[in-house]
Amino acid sequence: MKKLSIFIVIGFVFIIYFSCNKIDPPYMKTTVDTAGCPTPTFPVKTTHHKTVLIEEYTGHLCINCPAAAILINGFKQTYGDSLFVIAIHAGGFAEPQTPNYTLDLRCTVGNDLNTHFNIQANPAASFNRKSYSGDKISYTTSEWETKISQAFQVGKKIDMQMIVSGYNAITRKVCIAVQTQYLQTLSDTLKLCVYIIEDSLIGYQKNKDASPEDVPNYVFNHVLRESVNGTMGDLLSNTQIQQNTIKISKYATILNSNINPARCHFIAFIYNFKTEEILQCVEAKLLN
Amino acid sequence: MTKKYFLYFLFIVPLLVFYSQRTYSQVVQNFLNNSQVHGNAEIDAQYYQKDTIIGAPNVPEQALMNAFGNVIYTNGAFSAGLRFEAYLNPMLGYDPRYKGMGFPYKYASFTKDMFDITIGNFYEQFGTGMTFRSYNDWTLGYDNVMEGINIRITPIKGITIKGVWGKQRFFWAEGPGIVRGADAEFSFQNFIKKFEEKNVNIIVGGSFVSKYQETQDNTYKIPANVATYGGRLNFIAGDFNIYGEYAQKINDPEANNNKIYKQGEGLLIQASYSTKGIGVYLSGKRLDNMDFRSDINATGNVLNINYLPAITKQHTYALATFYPYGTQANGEIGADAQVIFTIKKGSKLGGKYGTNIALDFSQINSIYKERVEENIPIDSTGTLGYKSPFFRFGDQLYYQDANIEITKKFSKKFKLILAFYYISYNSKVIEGHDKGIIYSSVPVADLTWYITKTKSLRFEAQYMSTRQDEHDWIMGLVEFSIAPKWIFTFMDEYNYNNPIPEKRVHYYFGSVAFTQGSSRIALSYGRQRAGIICVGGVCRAVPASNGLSVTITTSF
Repeated sequence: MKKLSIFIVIGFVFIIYFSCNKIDPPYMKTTVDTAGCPTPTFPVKTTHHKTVLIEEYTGHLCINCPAAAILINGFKQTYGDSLFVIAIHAGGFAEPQTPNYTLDLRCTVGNDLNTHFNIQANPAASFNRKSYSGDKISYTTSEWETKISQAFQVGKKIDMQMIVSGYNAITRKVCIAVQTQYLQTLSDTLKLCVYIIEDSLIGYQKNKDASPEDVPNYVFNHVLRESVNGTMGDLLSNTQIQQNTIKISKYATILNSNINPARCHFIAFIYNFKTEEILQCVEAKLLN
Repeated sequence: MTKKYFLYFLFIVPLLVFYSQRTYSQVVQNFLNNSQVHGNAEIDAQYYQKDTIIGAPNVPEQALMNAFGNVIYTNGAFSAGLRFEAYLNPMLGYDPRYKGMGFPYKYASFTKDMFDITIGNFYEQFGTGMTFRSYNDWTLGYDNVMEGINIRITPIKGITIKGVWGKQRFFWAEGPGIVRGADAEFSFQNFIKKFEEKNVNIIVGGSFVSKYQETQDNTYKIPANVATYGGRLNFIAGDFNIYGEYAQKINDPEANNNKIYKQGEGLLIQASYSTKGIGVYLSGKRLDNMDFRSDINATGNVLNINYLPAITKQHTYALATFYPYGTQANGEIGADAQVIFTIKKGSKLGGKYGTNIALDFSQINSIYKERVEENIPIDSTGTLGYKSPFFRFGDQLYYQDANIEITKKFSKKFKLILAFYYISYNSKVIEGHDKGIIYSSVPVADLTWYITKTKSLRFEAQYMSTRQDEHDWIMGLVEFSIAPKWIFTFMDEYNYNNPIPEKRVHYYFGSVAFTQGSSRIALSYGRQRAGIICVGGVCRAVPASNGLSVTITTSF
């Protein structure tokens, strides 16, 4: 029995020992090497306006979500180019269901965010990932109008511009350059995320305002498809950066074959790592 | 023939039935005799009042409650239990993601031969926890309990082998990663007779822990399997004890380390010696990129696989706890030295009852970091991050604490504690607030008057001087105890020198606690200042609040 236990332990340790992946440099995937990407010249901006990112948690089985999407479209009309939207399909309402609800719009990044922010119900939305009432960052539809207004009242700390270029239709490689301008001296740890978004995806959606409830050709916009640099992004700065400093971050990515380049755009945003609050965001289309 | 069977049926079958029933009832009786049920429960609730002066927010629910109850059943080698938790809604300062109620902890375990197996939820620790520790701290709102299988094997006395395999708790769900680990410990005293005779022991241990998580990152190669491994040695000879533990972690680009690929490492050395009248405790620690979680995107106090112990002294006096130290998993290096000695009874300074003096000094700095390559900034994502010579201190002070505590009993009626703390606290690193280094001096006087055998009155006077943050504070406390049942406390913290005159307010607080057996109920009312609390280097932000609180604890 004692010998058996020793064998069990050796076997156990052996299994675990080989359960680790040593990564050798380069750590960046070779397919997305930015060496071939140009550093674009960004236009000089004299005025800087505050931008807000709405991350809407939704799903095709959520009967209240179409009404929420209409509400968000209304906000887009009001706030125009200062407001960006990401629709995150994650959680139980986004699960595929045969025979009609087979379009799976979930992605790893969306699932990560749904877990990280502990989204319990749909529709829910965060506004620059900021907590306006001290206890949560996602809000139900009745609170959206107030929160969006509060989000725009937060002062500007940085400004961003993004240029997406060099898309190769054969390799599907694309270059992304993001310029950050510090509007004040900042010493917080800031991170930069670049997400890939797709519009006009068509599938079934449940809608309590429709009759019958199952809508076959529903158009899904602002759908989060994946991230260029991971769910939580890259470090932008963690030391004191002086006001008016300009930084350019370059990325390249291979667009997944299931994404239509004509309907694809990118959203980049910078957030405070400690508070998770998004300070600024920017959007750029893949093809103009 | 038929008559014979009839007689059998008439006499033998009833006899068998009677006997088997007796055996059955004996089994039931034995089972019930061996059964034990234990449990404990705690209810914390507070009625909140909005208090704009101190920044206490409006609580829409007006009253919030955190509660738990454990029930554990044991029967010989078998044990099973569960814990119910309710956060309706979570009290201020606790992660709102706890909102709800349920049974996050349920397990069954049995011991057979050399095996001790637990299925379901379990808490476990390897060494000091540098490679693995799952634990629960109610005060911190921290629970990274595992759900899976935990096995302990003791093939012979002196050898302990542990294995864990499962997922970690993430509020009311499980984290996305799978955690696997094994640990072995060998105690020489069980094998070398002379060691036992001379009160000497050497304990050697080693552990290996790996996590698996599927991730998506278009830019960087993210390892799905990440491991930590470590070794430890403990040498004990009489009153002398030295313990050392070293752990390494392979490349683990994750949210808290800016996705760098540098290997992590941690070293902890603790030594103590005590003899009549004196005790010395020394410890040193270096951590470099040792944040290890079962989700690479997790931040805050969630899904930590390992525990990185703090070596700084944990204080109890209110103003000395204003600026506590929180372990910096990404990098810190420091040491702590404590000396406790007693001045003999009957000597001039010792007096009739002797005098105890405790001296303590600790300092924690950043680790020294230099660029991996000339043109790559330190901590750049997708690189090795930085180079760091092992024993070189960084120039950034994180925390320094020099303190003295003198305890003197003057007579059977009076005991006095005098203490002084000088604390330097890097608010940017520990709390993320850009208030720079806060230097605070805190003198404390604590006098207890034992009026009768059961009644005592305790007075505390504290003062904190600092030119940073909220500047100077003064605090007074009166506590009347009627042992063993009643404690009445009244205290006031006064931020009399706050640079903003409107914030020069009193934080009055009164409480009554009643204890009977293993049950306790405490009612309190007053203001709670905003700050952080840290237990063992793990911290939680506490927002300002004002209101009536009740705490009930009991066990059976």
